[in-house]
Amino acid sequence: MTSTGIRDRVAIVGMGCTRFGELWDQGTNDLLTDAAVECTGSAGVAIDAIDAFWLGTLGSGQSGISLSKPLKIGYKPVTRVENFCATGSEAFRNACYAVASGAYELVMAIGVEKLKDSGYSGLTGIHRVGDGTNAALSSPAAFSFLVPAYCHKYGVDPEEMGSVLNRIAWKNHQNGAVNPRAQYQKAVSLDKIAASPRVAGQLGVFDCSGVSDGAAAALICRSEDAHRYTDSPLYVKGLSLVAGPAAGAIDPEYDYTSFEEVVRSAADAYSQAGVTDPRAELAMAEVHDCFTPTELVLMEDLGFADRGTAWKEVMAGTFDRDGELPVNPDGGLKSFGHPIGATGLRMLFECWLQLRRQAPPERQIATVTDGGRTLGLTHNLGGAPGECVSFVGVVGTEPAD
Amino acid sequence: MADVDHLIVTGLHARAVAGLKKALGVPADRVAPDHTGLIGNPGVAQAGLLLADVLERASPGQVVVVLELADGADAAVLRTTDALPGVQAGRREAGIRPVADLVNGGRSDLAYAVFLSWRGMLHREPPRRPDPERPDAPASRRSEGWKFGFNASRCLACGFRHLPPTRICLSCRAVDQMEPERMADLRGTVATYTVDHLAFSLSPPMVGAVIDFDGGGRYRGEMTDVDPDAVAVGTRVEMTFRRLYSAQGVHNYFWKARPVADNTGDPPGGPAHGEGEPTS
Repeated sequence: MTSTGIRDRVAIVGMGCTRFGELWDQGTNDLLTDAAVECTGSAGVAIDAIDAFWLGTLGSGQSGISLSKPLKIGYKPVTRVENFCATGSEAFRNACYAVASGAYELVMAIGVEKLKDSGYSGLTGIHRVGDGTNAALSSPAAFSFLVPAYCHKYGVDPEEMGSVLNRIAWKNHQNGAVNPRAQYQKAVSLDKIAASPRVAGQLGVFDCSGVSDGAAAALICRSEDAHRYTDSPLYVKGLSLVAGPAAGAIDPEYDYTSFEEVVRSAADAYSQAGVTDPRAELAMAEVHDCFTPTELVLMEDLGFADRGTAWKEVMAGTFDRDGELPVNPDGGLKSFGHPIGATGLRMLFECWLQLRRQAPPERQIATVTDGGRTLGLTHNLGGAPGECVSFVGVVGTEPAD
Repeated sequence: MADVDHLIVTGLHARAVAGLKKALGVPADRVAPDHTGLIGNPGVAQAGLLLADVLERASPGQVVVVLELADGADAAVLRTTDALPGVQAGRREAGIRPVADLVNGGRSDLAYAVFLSWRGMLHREPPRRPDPERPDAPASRRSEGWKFGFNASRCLACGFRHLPPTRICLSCRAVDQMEPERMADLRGTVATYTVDHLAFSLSPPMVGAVIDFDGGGRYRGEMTDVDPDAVAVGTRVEMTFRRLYSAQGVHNYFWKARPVADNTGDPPGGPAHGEGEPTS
């Protein structure tokens, strides 16, 4: 694959992110308006100053009208984007390319999802059922396949594995507890996590991300223009999205202990960004912890831990907010829920706060303030083990060398 | 009537069916059993099912009468030919299970409340999930070989089996070099599984499994006739055609895997993957 990337050619100069949660008093249009207004406000521009828009939503709207109508956008290009749970990141990626191409000077990527109004548990599909032969397994069931497979391959006792998964949920709730934008702003004890009712396989309620409403937005311009809008832009270092051939669901060689799509998109993004040792170079990572075993496997697929060792690193606290490489310092999908179109941009918002040292002191990560690291990673996964799309992005505060 | 070797009478009106069998004067040992005590009345499928059953036992040169009772009645008279034994032997060699075997392969441990809920006579609180949607008829017609026959596509270039069938080979990327291959009679091994308390199922909790078939091919789907606590990596399974759900008046049938109690149907030398060992 030839993927040269657009390293340092575009920059994020403004961001906005709503609170995520059961927002019964706010509709999709309110969420879009709040995110867009905060975003443009942070860069000191009006919505009218933006040349083009990319809207990410899985099912809370169709077409560019879903954005142009509430924001009263005056006859500008608005593109609606959907790519499963990577939808928010995909809106951002395409917006970046539009600026890098020279077609526009200032663009907005914005994502939204309004999930709670349906009253359903978990996420639901929106496509037709077709011939009716697709197994209707729920998402937690599809991801629960990872657990026994990982245990078997690396000789991890199932009870020990339970402790590992509980600690991932515990860590992300600890982080969310001090984040005023999170859906769940409460620490949860390991005992309570362990005792939660089963949903699928070994996964209990606390192994699953929440269901919430939310929106987030980013303003992107050419790097050379960035200081017109802010003194501290975030430069885009690497962007990769891959869709796999859905091999795992039909290939007996697949063993449910890895996401090949993540491995490939990470390698591509690191190559674009010039990252060779992600664990040592990144200040933080926001990863797609839709379920606790997903985060575990991602630590290996993203190169943060050697194969078969992530479970030990989790127990050692390597990925805690004050650990060697903070993972999901904002609380992750676990604490924020997963309004699909918004999630990828919400992850980017945490990079925006942390890398620019604008997180509140009680949760500002030390890898930036003491360690002097300047890079952050965001990762989105859409689909299920063996059949998914994966996005990896790297952003940083330092301009081109 | 003296020439009739096998009399098949079908219909939904049990008393009319029984009365006609008696009135026709065909000796009782020449009246085909309808198996309703074991499998109930399969409705429109009954005539075909009983005819298949008879043809698996019949000899050449016999007369078979099929009577279908409804508001009116249809009658068909058939005579078997010398080709029959060859067809019977061919089906046996292909491992196709006879009707009698399928009829006797049912279970007797079904709780009455569960049976009533399957029949829609006892309402069960559904999960807080969207109701299942009826399958699309054109899509079902297009995928007839897969949906009703459980036919994979096997790559002629490299032999890789695809479930469901695809046109481009995952393994060698050859385009349109596929032949359909019947998988319904093959056995497989559970590579991994899960018990899903969230998904809609007529018989919750849904047991989902990844099945690796003997001789190649992987399929992810539902299990049935299974104790969720008894399924394990390495469990041997066979495929069975079952109802997934009914929606908007349409019954959606497809294939599910169920555990096999013994290894009598296994290929010589045992299963392709060792018992208790997941594939990796």
